[in-house]
Amino acid sequence: MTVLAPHAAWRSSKRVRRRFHAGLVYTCLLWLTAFNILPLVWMISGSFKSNAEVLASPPIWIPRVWHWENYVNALRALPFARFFLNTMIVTSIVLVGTVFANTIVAFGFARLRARYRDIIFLILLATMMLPRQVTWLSVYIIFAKLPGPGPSGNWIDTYLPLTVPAFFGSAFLVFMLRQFFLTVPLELDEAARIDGANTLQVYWHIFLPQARPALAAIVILVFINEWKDYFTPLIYLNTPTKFTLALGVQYFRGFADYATQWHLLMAAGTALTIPPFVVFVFFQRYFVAGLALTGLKG
Amino acid sequence: MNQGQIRCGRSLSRRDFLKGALAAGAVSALAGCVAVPSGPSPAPAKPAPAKPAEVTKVTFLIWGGEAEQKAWEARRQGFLKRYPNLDVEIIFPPGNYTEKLTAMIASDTAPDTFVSNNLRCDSQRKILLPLDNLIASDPDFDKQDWFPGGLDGGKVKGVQYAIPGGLGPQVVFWNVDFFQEAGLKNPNELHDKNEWTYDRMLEYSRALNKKEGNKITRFAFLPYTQWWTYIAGFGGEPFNADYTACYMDQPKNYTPVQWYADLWLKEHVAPLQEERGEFGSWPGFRDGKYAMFISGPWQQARLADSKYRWDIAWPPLQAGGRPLMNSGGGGSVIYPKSQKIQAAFKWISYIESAEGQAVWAGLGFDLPSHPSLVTDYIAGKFFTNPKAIPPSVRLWYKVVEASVKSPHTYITAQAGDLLNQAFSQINTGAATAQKAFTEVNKDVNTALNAC
Amino acid sequence: MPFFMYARQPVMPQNGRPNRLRTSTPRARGVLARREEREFYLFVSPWILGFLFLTAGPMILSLIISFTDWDVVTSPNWLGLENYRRLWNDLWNPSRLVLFQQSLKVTTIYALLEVPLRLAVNLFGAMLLNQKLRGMPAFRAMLYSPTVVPAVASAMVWIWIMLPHGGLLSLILNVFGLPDQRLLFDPATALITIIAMGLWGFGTGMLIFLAGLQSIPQHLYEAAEIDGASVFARFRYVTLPMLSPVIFFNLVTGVMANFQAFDGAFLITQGGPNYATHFYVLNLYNFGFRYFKMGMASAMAWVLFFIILAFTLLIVRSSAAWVYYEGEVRGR
Repeated sequence: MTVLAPHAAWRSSKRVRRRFHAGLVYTCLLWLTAFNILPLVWMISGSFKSNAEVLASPPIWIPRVWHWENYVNALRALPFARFFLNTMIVTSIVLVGTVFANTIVAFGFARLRARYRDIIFLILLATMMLPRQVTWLSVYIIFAKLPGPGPSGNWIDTYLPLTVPAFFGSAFLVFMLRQFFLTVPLELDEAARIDGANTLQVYWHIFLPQARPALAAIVILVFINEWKDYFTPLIYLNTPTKFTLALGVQYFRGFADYATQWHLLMAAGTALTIPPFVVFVFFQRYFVAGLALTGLKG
Repeated sequence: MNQGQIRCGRSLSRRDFLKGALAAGAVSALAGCVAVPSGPSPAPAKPAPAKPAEVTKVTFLIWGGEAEQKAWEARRQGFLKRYPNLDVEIIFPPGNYTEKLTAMIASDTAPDTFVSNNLRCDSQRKILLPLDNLIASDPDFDKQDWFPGGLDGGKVKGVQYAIPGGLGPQVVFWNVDFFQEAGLKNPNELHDKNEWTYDRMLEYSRALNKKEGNKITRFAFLPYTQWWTYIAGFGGEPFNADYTACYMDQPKNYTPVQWYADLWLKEHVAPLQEERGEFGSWPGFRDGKYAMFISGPWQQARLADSKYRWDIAWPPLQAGGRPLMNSGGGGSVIYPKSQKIQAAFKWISYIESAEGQAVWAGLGFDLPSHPSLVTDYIAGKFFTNPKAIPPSVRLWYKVVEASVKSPHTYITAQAGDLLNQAFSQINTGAATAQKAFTEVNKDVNTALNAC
Repeated sequence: MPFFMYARQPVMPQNGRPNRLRTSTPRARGVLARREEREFYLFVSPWILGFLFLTAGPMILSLIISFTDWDVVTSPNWLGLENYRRLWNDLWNPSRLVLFQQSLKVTTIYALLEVPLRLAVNLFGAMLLNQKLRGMPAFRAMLYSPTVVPAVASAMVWIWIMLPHGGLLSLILNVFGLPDQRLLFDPATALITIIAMGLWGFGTGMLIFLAGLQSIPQHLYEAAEIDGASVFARFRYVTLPMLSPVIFFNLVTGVMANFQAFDGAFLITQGGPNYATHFYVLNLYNFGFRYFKMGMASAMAWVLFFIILAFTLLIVRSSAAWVYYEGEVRGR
């Protein structure tokens, strides 16, 4: 009895500590959530108001009349089904290209040695240091000079400029994956090599499974980025039937504030948050502690 | 060794990411195929009538959202009817118009026609085709049906580069109910006796503020950006004729701006900058939080569903003062390297012709700039919503005739930014108008000439 | 307790071979090394190709343009170092026509405060969301939601929150008896307000930290707990070191992103009041796309490039001291 009593005491104090700990976490989370969902709540609330109510001052958070028809009107006003299809095509291709290209390149930086590796890596970092505002025009001109299937005989007004660069990797994602790959212990690689695996097999069979949380993060990031990106489609696409969702939502803005139809914009905006949420919820389950193993535990 | 152990027991491997992504893409492709036929297409519902074999199509780049798109499509239909062998493809970037135009020009895929906001700098960059020869040789172009100086708004140093658009005179929008409640006279009556001055407006404003205890529940006046209005109303002349010199450091030009700012800084008949969020902008006037404000024709459509009776009136004028009007400085233009110049000219002259502007006027933006349309406009024929027509609608063109042009479309962007930053300091009371404008005047003069 | 102690716990592999802890295993030069070098270039080739075709050219071109006065349409005139001279002069005699000194000041203050604060906030959020408690997926989704809301709607909410009278913040201040603050309308407080606004919203950084936290092997925590380490000690000796590669990543990319901050100023304050929030890239954008002085804009871009490069090199240099890679392979 006396042997067990201290253990029991330790156990129950541990439970109390755990409860306190959980309580603290929940409190912090609730506060943070309250602030962070304000824009979403505002948008949802605006999607049910009339245009006049959206701009009312002081702001009305709960609409007096719930205008469900805003959603129907917004999604009918422009060919959103078409935009959705376009966006899914572009995003799917970009996701495939991104996952492949970035993991391969990052693996190279993380695991393979070469004389100029670190300098090349620094150059990779340097490409993120020049503001996009002074380079996007030159990139545009490059695509305008390449012969291609577009209406003007080049790459303009096609999805090529939106998708092809994904297959060459992005400095940001390569950098991120490299950091993750560097946390994977070498022992796994060496063990696999002893078993006769070549580099490619090490990459495919050992590495990628270990990097699952990082890959999940990439899928979420890239999906949402493609979903929201409106500048690249704006400058490269001319034909409205090729537009993506991000462009579609912008249409409700009108010229400055003159004709902005806020209620429709908010309705479309709210409808558009659903797929990213779905992707997030689906992929975030890979962020579950304990998935990553060294693989060597007894 | 451990390969099998790592892989099995996991719910999904990375292969399944990709499978999932591709599957999602395929599913949505199917969904899209099903959905697309039922969705509306951006093209007009009825197919255009069969055209003769040779149709020249010009491209036109314009900004605008969903509401303006409908108006442009209506103009395009009118154009097709008028010139059966011409067509136009209207490209609508939903934002970042300048970047889109710049990209197209830099990559030799420029549109045939577009709209310029700053003729002065754009003409120097040689992206505008001079139109004088085309105007002279085109029998369809009506050179007469313009207000005096109307077509001049599209000229730079005597060369016609653009066909300018509609007019935006600044008038007072006033709440008839509130004025009557306070026992005040109709401002137009006062104007006819030359008594509707800014001093009188201030008197009226003091009577129109409404208080409940210590808190103001209704302000007399809503400050609405265009501060050039007050300089014109006091008889100031902020620039020389070709906008290469700025005189904002002269008392006759900066005093009106201070007077305007004092409406909220000293008199408190208008909200302070930090109070404006609470009372709102133009929706506040519509909802009865203000008794008056000064703005242009585009407010009519917005005020249509106000619960109060409202009307327009002459802006207050001191001795020697004139109303201000947005006009010119920009317009529809042709890109010099276009291969379809004749067709392009037909298009831009059509959209700003009497026929083309009639469509636009109905949306409630600017006033048509052709005398031939005035009678129909003041009869309310263009208004899509009859409640948007003010009782004194005939006033608009009287104000047009008396107005001076607003400088903000004729000066360079950098000069405009400098002046607006100066104003923002006056607005918050951080600096007096004298100090703010005297400090920036030299820089503004440099910026005016550094296109 | 010595730093990195728990991260370096030796672990016995299944086949009984002792584990070699030290990361770099220098290999002899020769056939193997050359083959590895070839493999390296093969694996990295997609990025190298992309760099050569799509990135290097535009970057070099923008450098060349910075020596001209290109207005994006007409042929550029060679100016030599004139643009850079004007920027240098503006450092000592600031002018509203250049706004270099002002925008540099604003952006540097912003970045130097925002980067560490943002890092801490993201880490804090990720740790909260990493707890094995019920309802975590829902909390994660809600905290990530600001990223999926269009910027336009977020801007409206922010303007309302920051309204001096009747905005959410002023309401909260009033509850505590504090007077209303002019916040975005006062040059003295506008920048601080923008910095605070930047801390809200858990985006990319938090997501990456969350992924990073997931990559920490659980057995390290268990070992530490058995040894009696407190919550803080576990954080200091397990979490931080194992997370250091990701911290390094967020630090470097944070510096890059915050020196190039643009959206807040553009959407909400337009650089005011009185240039108090006139960010560097906003100024650059004005010169390039509103005043059509692309040469000057490019010069500004390259000055920023070198500033960011300097900070990055500093961080990279220091990283040897505090970043721990479990699977590092030192190059030759």
